[in-house]
Amino acid sequence: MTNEERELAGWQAEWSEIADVPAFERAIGARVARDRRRLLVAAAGEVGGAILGIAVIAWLLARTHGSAFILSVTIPLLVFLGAWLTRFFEMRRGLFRAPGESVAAFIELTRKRLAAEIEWMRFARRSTTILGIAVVFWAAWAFVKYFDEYTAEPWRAVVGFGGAVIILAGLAWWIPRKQARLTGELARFEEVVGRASLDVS
Amino acid sequence: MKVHAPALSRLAASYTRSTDEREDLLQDIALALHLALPSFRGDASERTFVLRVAHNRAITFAARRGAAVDIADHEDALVASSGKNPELRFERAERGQRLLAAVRTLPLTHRQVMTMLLEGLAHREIAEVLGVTENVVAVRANRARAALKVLLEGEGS
Repeated sequence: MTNEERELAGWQAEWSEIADVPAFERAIGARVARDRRRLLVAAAGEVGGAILGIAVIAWLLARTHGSAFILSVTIPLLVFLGAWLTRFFEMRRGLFRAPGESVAAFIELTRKRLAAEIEWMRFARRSTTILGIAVVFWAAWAFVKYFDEYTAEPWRAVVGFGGAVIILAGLAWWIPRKQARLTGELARFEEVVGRASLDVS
Repeated sequence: MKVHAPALSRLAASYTRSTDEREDLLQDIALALHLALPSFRGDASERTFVLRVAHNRAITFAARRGAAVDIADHEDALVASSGKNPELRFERAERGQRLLAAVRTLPLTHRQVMTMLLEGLAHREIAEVLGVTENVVAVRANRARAALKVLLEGEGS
C-alpha cells in the first residue's frame, strides 16, 4: 500500500464515522411531521374555539333564562358551529397519519393535505359569506326591534354590531390571504417534485 | 434506498452548511430518487446510479443557494490559502467533522470527486457518475487530495 493509499484509507475511515448527519429517512419524514403538527394545532384551535363558543352561548342562555331573542341568535350559531366542525374533520379524514413511510406516500400525503387546506379555505370563505349575510339581516331586525334599548344604551349597539363587523371583516381579510399562501405552497411543492424529476436524466 | 442513506447523508452534509439546508437537500434527493428509480435499467451499479442522481440534485441545490461561484475550476490557490478558514476552527471537535469541514471548503468539482473517493468509489465509477473521463477524474482527485491535505495540515498546526 502506497502512502497515498494509506492516507486515503485513513480519511475514508474518518468519513464513514461521521455520525451526526441527519438520517435520510428523517429528512423524508420531516415535512410530513411538520404538516401533522400544523394539522393538530389547527384541529385543537377549532375544537377550542367551538368549546369557547358553546360556553358563551350557554352563559348567555343561562343569564337571559333562554330568552326568545338570544335563542333566535344562538340556535343558528350552534347549527353553524356543528356543520363547521363536522366539515373540518370530514375533510381531514385520513390525513392525520401517513399511510406509509415511502417517498411516494410522503408526496401523496403532502399533496392531499395541502389540497384539503385549500378546499377548507374555500369552504370557510363561502360559509363566512353566508354567515355575514345572515348577520346583516339579523342585525337590521334586532336594531329595529330593540331601537329604544339601543338608543338608551348605545354602547350595546357599538359592542354588539361593532364586534360582529370586526370579526367578519377580519375573516374576509384573512381567508383569501391564507388561501393564496396555501396555493403558493402547493405550487412550490410541485415545483420541488418537478425540479427533482429534472435530475432523473 | 436505506442502504445508501449514510452515504447520501454525508453527501448532503458536504454541500450544505446548516441542518435545515441539509434536510432540505436530503428531501430533494429523496424526491429525485423516487422519480428516477423507475428509469434505472441496471446498466450501472445501483450505487453509481443513486450517487449520480444525488450529485445532480446537490449541484442544482448549491447553484440555487448562490454557490455557483464554486463551480469555477481553478481555485487551487484559494483552497490552499484557506487553511485558517474560520469554519474549520468551529468544527474541529471530531476528526470526521474536521474532515467534513475541510471537504466543504473544496471547490465544487473537487468536492464531488473527493466525496465519492471517500465513499470508496473507483475512478471509473466516479467518471460514470459525473459523465467525464477517467483522466479528468484522476486530475481532479489529485488536486482535491492535495488541497485537502493542505487544509487538514493547516488546521492541525
